[in-house]
Amino acid sequence: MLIKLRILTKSFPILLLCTLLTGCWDRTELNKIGITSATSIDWVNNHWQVSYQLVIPQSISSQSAMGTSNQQAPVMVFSTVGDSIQTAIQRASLEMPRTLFFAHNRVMIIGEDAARKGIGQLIDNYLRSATSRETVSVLITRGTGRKILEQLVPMEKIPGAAIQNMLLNEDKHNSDLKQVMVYQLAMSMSGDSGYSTVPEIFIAGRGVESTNVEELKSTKAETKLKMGRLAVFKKDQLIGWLSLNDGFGINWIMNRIDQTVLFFSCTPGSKHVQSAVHIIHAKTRLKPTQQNGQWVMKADVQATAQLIENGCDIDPSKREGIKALEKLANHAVTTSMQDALRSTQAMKADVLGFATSIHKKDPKAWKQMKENWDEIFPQIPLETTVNISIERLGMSSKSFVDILKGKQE
Amino acid sequence: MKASQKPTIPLSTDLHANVERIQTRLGGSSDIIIRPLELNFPQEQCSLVLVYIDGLVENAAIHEFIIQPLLTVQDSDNAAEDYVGIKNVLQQIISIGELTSAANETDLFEGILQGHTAILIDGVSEALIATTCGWERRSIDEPQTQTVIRGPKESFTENIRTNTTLLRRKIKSPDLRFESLSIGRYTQTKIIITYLEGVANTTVLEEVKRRLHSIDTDSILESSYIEEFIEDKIYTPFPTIMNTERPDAAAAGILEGQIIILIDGTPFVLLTPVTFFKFLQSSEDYYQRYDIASFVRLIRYMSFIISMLLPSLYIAITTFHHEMLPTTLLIGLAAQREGVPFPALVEAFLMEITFEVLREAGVRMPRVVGPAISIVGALVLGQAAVQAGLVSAAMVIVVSFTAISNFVVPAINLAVAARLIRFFLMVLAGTLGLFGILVGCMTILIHMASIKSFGVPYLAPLAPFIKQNVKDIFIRLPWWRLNTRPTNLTTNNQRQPAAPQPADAKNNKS
Repeated sequence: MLIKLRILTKSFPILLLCTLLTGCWDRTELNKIGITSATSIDWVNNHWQVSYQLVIPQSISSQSAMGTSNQQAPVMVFSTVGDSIQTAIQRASLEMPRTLFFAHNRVMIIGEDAARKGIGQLIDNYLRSATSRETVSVLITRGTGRKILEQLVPMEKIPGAAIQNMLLNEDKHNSDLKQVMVYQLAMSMSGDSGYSTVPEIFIAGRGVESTNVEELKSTKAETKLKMGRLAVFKKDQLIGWLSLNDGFGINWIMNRIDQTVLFFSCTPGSKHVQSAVHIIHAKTRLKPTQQNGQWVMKADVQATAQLIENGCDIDPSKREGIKALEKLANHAVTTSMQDALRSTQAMKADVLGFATSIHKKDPKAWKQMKENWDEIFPQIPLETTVNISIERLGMSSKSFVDILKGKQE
Repeated sequence: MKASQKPTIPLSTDLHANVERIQTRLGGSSDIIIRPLELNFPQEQCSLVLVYIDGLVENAAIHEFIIQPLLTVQDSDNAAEDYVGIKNVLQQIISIGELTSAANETDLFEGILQGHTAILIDGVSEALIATTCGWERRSIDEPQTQTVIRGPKESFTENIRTNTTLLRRKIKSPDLRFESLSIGRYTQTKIIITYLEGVANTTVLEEVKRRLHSIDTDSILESSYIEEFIEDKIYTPFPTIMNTERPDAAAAGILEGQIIILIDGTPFVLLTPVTFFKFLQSSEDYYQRYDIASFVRLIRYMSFIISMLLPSLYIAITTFHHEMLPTTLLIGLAAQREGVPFPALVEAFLMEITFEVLREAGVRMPRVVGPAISIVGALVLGQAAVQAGLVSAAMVIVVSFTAISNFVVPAINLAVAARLIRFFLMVLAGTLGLFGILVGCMTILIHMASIKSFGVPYLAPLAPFIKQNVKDIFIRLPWWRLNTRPTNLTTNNQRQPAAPQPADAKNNKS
């Protein structure tokens, strides 16, 4: 017992000192890290230009002795240039007193020039690095990405978080443009068809850009960040753009609709839109089949909806009324999907997942078609069956416009 | 000297020699009363001397039940044939309930010093010891440290006879056994071992007795002296013997098969053997309903873990693992740390040491000064330090919450263990991050699993897993489900006949 005690007492200080030997090598205090909330990549003068949006904690948190008179912008933006992306990041230590911390990076904005050049190297960077997350949202912009980072957003303190929230909001409620994360982009770029889509963000409005906190003090902003078209990538290079409607149709085909508002006109084919339903659930089954040696895609859409706006003459409180509205809604979805198909086939860009589903269905046939997919894809027709069931009518049944008309007569 | 080794010097038959011996041995202290008596019997004339210590005895008992019968007996008639010896006569005359005889000096002095009256008889080498103790004692009060909202409000006192009475009133079974011994060379403290025959484990009982008999020390002033002598010899911050001030908690322990050690002079009794989970149970769990009792018990477990781990988790995450915090929290914390000169580990140590100092000062503070100092402590140290930029506000919150959750643990000796381990874990967190905390926790867990309390594994019934005993660990099942005693303490398992369910509503319809 005494020997054990002696061994313990002798070894304990040594063990204690050993813990101090570590030097705490990974230790960084909270006020020594530069928290990056958004980054952007541009290709300027044959160099990679990486820009960072760093959060300034003191001006965001409500605590601390600084009053509101000393209004500092909540973020600061700076760029570094290099031959490779990591070289550029390395150069940041030349002008930054803090270590860059990418774990809280929310969005990655890619400038148009960089996109046309090819972003394969950027994806490799992301996948290889230990500190950057692959769940970062990717956005593309016309012009340089740095301009987007410099823009302040009225409602949120951190613009990077604001951009991602905007994207998530759109993804969930609008389903026009879907959020694309780095790993999803990597998967679709290296997938069967090699085509992928990335949403676009740009600065809308003419006037002074809101890079100054003073600009935010008025009730209206002259310029604001807005989501726009859909960019199409072949392998890792930008080849063209699709419109929002095309994006909507693509999402219907690819079963990516979360919740959305579907608007339609009172007579099929008319451009005069008057009614809308809110789609609550939607599910699309995409099946490839062979007819007479030709591949045909069958899309079967089932959705539940709620009527939210009724400007048509149809009385939804009767069964036939609902059936008529459903028929109009189905027609709207079908048109949307066929429009999307036409636009993508014009670009020869298979962003609809046809390649993957044919590959899954019949790998042998896919092996033969793989080489000529760019020629085969534009020939594939799409047969759609849409079945939207309107389950709720909202708080009133007849259309108000109808009631007014009734009164006049 | 151990109890078995006391020297036995026999008394002499000469009365004066004995009285001389007593005077020299006790040094002629001013509180020793020596009262000579002369008895005249027809058969013989004998001298008696009463020796007792004033203050320890109940004077009325001596006057009425010893001196008075002795003085009045001389007048009565004694038949010659019945006369056997003066000692026998005295045993018939003295109307004290407990009358023993002492043949050697040790027993004589033990009797006198415990408050009994010694009756020395000329010509007889034995002395009679009459129990007459009665002194100022504290009345049965509310327990000071382990209070409950609902439940009995009696507590043990310093007098061991009161304590045994309190236990007897709770357990009215003939199987309740008391065995007493005296420990301590100078204090001769009376120790009583209490157990329930048939329920307590005999091996554990033998071990307890063996350990108690092997104690050789000057004094036993408090139960903690005994605790440190008899606990298992593993160097551990975790306590292996529980103590309580409440008779109902002690009685519940006896009924589960534990062995209680009562010590004269302190209201805290010892309970052995215990497991880790017993320290986190309170008697109140059994007096409230089972649903609220289970909930409060879960909160206690959570608080114990928080009081050990919270500061280290904070240090580790804010120093090494910034990726784990949500962005808004990270930014808030980073803003708070601007302008704070110390790294997180140093800040944490400063605040923890400050709090320990405050806590110790609070214990010793005179009541009149108390409120003023607590204001100083709270406002100055907490608020002003944050505003001066010496510590960050989050650290103050972490430290105060840790301290508060430390008080939730019902047993103070386990709370102390958490306090000590906290510092060890903070150092590990500051040097090795979450990995260090996990290493520390693994070490603690392995250490806890290796502790045994009188042969019972410390982490039973989780390690080794005894499914039967888990009913009372994290949640308390209602009484009609708790029909077995914990198996690690006893082999007599059936607590009550197979569970009568509470009255079924269906059966009550008429």
